[in-house]
Amino acid sequence: MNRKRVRNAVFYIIITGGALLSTAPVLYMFSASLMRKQDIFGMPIRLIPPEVRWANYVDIFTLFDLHRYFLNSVFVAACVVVFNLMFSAMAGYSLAKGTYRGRRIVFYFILSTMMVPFTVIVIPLYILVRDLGWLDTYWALIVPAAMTPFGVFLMRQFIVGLPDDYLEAARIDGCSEVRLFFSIVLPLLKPALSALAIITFTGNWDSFLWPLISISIESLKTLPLGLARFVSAYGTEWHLLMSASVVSTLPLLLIFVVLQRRFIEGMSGLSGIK
Amino acid sequence: MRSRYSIFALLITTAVVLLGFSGVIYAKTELVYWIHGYEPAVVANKEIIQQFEALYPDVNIRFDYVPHDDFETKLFTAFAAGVGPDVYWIADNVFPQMLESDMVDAVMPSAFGVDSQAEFETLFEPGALEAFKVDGTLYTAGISEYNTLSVYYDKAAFREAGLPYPSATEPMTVAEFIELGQKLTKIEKNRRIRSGIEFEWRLPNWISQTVEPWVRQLGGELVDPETGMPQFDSEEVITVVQLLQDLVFKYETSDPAFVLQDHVEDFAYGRVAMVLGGPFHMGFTRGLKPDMEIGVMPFPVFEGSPRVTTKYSWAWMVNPHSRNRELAWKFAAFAATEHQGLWWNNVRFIQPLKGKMDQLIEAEPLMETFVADFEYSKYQFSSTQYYELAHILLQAVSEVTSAPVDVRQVMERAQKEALGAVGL
Amino acid sequence: MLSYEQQRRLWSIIFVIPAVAFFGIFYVWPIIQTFWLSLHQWNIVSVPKYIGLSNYQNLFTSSQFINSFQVTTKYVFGSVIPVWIIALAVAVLFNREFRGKDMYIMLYYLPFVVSLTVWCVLWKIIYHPSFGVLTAVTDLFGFRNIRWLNDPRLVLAALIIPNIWKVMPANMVILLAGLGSIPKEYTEAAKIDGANSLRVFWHIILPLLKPVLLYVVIISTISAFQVFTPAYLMTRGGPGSATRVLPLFIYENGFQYLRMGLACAASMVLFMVLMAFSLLQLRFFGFGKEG
Repeated sequence: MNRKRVRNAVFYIIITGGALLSTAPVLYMFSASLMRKQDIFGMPIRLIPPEVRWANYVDIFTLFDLHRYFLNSVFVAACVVVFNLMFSAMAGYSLAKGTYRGRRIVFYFILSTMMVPFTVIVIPLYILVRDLGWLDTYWALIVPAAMTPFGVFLMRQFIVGLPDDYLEAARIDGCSEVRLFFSIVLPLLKPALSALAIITFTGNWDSFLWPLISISIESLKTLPLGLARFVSAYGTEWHLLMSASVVSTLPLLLIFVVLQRRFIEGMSGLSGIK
Repeated sequence: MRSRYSIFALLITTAVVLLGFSGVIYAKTELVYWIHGYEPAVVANKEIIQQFEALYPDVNIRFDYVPHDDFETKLFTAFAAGVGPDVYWIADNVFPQMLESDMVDAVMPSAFGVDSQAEFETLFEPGALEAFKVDGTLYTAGISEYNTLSVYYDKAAFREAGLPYPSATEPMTVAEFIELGQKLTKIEKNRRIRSGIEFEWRLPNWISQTVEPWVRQLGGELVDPETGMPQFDSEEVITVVQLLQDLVFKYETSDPAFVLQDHVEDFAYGRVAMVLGGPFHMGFTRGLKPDMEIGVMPFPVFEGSPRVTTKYSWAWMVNPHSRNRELAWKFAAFAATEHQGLWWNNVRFIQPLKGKMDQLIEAEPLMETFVADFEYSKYQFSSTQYYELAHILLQAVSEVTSAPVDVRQVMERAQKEALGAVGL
Repeated sequence: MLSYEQQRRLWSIIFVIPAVAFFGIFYVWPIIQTFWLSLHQWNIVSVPKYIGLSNYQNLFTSSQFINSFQVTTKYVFGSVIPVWIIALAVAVLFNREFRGKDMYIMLYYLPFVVSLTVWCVLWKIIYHPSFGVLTAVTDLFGFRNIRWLNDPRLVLAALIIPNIWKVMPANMVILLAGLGSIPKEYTEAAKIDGANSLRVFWHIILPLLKPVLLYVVIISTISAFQVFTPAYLMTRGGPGSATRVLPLFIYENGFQYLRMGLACAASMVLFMVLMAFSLLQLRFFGFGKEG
């Protein structure tokens, strides 16, 4: 009994230490977001703001219109997530349970597009989007991100693990393939969809280069472009950058907290043992 | 189960409808105008745009400002797709590249109410436009930001060290400058608290701007203006790069690792005593530290060498393929020649309109040194491979200032790379 | 009238069509164009001029490219291997029920949700040799004036450390999920047979974890190869060219020197390398043999 208690204590000490270590930079970011600009940088080194300045959080919205960037980012990321879930689930189902020939090739084809460095395809992509007439519209931000190879990979791996008997039973009952997908497969995919939602949302939230070049009107700009306004060749608003970044982190954190359990369950689908 | 996928459907429909609304169609004539983002300049530009739209009610100007470091990327991508802006800013150093790629239009004198290019030139300070002139043709609507580099110093640091303020008009020698730098450097318990001298170590154009005037004082050139040949392994260049290395390791007045992001920001907060800076830094420094006592002295000169400083500009350009070329020129002319006051008072950028420089000194006495330094200033070397050459120089400087390696050897390697860059 | 089987096949083909069309248009078509451009001299605005394989030839004789390639390789292995080890260790630690588990997972996950741009800027402040927070820590151990981002010997590590911090949590969560799906009976049976924990881990858990490990290994390798933001924001490839990773090389050549043809060739090389690596990893994990 006593030994168990000691082991337990050691366990908690270890994971708490790890947690402190991994959150330390984030805590510092939060602390810096409440400092005055000159406190972040100077002697003595400060970990805690000498005077707490919540006004930074007001300034980012009044001086820099952060809410507009924020709403754009939320809208774009939400659309991207919806499209990703939909199309990746469909493709994943087809690649996992389809009966046509060549699906392995199609799968490898999609997998191989993961290796494309974005910097390079940016110009051909830009020209394509221009030809579609999407520059300076939400389309430019949403459509090229509507699917990712990761998404299809994840879905396919998860669906492969779903028991065939279950699907067959529904088929025997005369269930059409479309209905089968929507009313039986999709609900089973909830955990995997949660995982994909988190990954896609987080991935999209940070994208910088593409919105930078494809959007030239203020009203459509996203959060990373907004953050970039705090850093310029003529000086950096360190403290405001930190506050803005705390704010920009919140939606991601919220989504993770809400979907955390399902996320972990969803990822376990990858192992294909279930 | 059903309700779940109807939520899906609903979300998608909403997305599609919202997207449909985003394409607003303008009936007005539209001009696209891009600048790099500097908050005061953005505000001033918005005002100019408003005035222009009031004068031309059927014109709509679509204005965008882009983070400084990513500005060229955005500009080039748009030009690659044939959708470059009608009016935009560029710096003198990328001009040759832009001209080669047919991205800049020859000046349209009528937009300025003059009859010829020669007459247009007389609107500006002599020599101000020369970086934008090739084979006798001018390619700019005017300069948005006219700069030379002088030295800002922190008067408080001088008082603390018991040093007299330097002359505002007579340049000191490089040796004197170093000595001052050493006296102003503060290192406590092996930790640097204040640098005597710092530069912008991070950006290729800044390194080239810093090295080049000193090289020219010694009679050399970074790039031969006649042949376009880089001279990175010449004695003059090696001497100057050696000087930068010595500042870091021998005299310990400077340390690239000490500059966080912007050397002038460090200056404003008392972390650096002397910095190379341009006139535009005045507004920036005062914005950060309104009560700071700033002094300005001329760019230091090697003993026995002639006075040479650097000059660089950002300028308004017009896209030669603009669908509304004439209107684009009118707007560029309006912005470039009719708002010097607004530009100076709110942005602290100099528009070098002829005969107006004295007014700047009246408004800000410290400008005297800059105006004097302009007389000795020369634009940077001109090359279609400017960025690549400047970057090779930066890499070399960065290498010799991060470890005490042999400068000559590094510069010889840099020269080889530079020759490759210009295709020789 | 189609038979049931035919209908089923038809629908599964219809289901995959959006994906094929999408990846064809937005990924493959740009790659084809990139390949085409890699055979040309192109300054972005001019008409591309065909020059055959010259760009590739120039690349392989360019010391800058070779340097970038080496730097990238060092960066990739330097960052993915610690990430795998730490992520696996933490996942094993978390693979049990205890009070506050969800909260702990969230705390570990926190760095992952911070914007990468801000993360890099933050670490630049942390690393500052005089005023950085890390300096206060290294001082305790008697190290003075460490120039993390300006010392050619330390700089790669200085880029790798923040990356481990940020990437580890995502991988950890995935591995944790994988561990959670391994039925307890497997490991318990082995323990009854007298195998020690290490042997159980090595001979039972790891093999069962293979598919998840595969996902983690492939995806973290690919994204490490594509590293751009940290090098761009924290060091600009310096000091000298000690952190000039391949994506930075590509960006600078393409967008700053306007040597787009060369940049495209470099990208094709990166593409090929990633393909080779991924195939190797797939083989190593015996993927595609069964099923």
